[in-house]
Amino acid sequence: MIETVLNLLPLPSVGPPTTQSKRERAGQVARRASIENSLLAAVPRKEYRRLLAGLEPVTLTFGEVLYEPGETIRHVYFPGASLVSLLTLTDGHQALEVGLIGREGMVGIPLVLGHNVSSVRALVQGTGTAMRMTSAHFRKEFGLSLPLQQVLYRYTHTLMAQISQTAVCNRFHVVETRLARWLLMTHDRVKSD
Amino acid sequence: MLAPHTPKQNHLPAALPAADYERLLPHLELVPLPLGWAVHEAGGAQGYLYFPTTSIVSLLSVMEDGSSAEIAVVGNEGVVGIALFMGGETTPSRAVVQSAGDGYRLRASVLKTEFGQGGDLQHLLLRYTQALITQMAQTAVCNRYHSVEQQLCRWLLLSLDRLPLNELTMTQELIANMLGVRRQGVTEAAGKLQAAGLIHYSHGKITVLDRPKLEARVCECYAVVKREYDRLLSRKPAIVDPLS
Repeated sequence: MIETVLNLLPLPSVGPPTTQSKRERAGQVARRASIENSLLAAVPRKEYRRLLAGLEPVTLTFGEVLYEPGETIRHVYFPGASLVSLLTLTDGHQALEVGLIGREGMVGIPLVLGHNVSSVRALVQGTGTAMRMTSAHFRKEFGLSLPLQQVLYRYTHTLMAQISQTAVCNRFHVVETRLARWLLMTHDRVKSD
Repeated sequence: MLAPHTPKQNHLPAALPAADYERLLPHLELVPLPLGWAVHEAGGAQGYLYFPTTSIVSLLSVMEDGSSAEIAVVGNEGVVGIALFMGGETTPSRAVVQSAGDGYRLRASVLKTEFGQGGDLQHLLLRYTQALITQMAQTAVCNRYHSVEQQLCRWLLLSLDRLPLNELTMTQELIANMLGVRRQGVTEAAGKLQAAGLIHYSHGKITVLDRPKLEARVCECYAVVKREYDRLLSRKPAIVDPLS
């Protein structure tokens, strides 16, 4: 569905290289990086432009922890080329990946559901670009934009399907097929080998 | 005499402000939820959102070969059919009544209108969704790491928290299907709990005799889920959600 919307939407144009102010260049970098993310690309252009003001391009680095369970979420992340794992902890130890988020998704779903505490650890698995927004800014924009709400509710539902599939996969499948699932999911999310 | 049924036996309608509740009341229809009835099938469209009151519904993830495992239980603390407001037209899981009882249902069109208005019902349903996500994630972990006995304890406690009674009507076969383990494993685990005086099991009825001991034996998964539900769905939303 999101892919369909993505194909129908005109992408923000990036003009030919001319003399630009630093600010304009930063804006262009932001535009290029943000449209890597399918959710941002699925928001109507006008709303997307307004969102852009609050989006900051960042590089997420392998091993970086974005959230810990029970901690207040300060930013939401829209991965571009980066990849983020959601991990559930057991007895304080990293136990299990329950979700994998790349360019098709957003890290910070509790904010979509109206609260600001993470129940999982969010760990960067693949270094790459992302756009981030402060939680306060996100909540404001989310409240204003019906299209953004629809896109993110729907994404949350697909993430839940991913979590439940993980549960059943852990129950029935051997390590080899679980690894194959993980590799395919990773490949889908970074579009590289 | 039995107390008359009211939608407030489910915690979500009970937490609504009076005006919102009164507006919804004419649309909430009491329905029986018989054992084994599929509230919705995987991939099927849903016409109603269900608020269980005295019943428990299992959400099951189904594999292509037909085997399934429970990913969450829903009772008087929640709703069945979140795809209706999350915007997925269908759902990948199957929802089956695991403990017979009653519930109320709300037509999809009414729900969508109410949800779209962004009031307390929307906030409650979204917070419930967050709690449900935690339960699913913890179930995934529990499936991976914990013994059948621990899982059985978790399952009993989560189920009983969602029912008005201290008793579950359930066959070992059904429990085995829920947990996605062999029936013999459930028989052994239930036998141990019974021998230790924690539960009484006979003629398909499970009664919890010593809840503190059961809580001492369960894996941490139960407490993680319970804490999250208490935090998100206590009846003081202003404290739970500093953002709204």
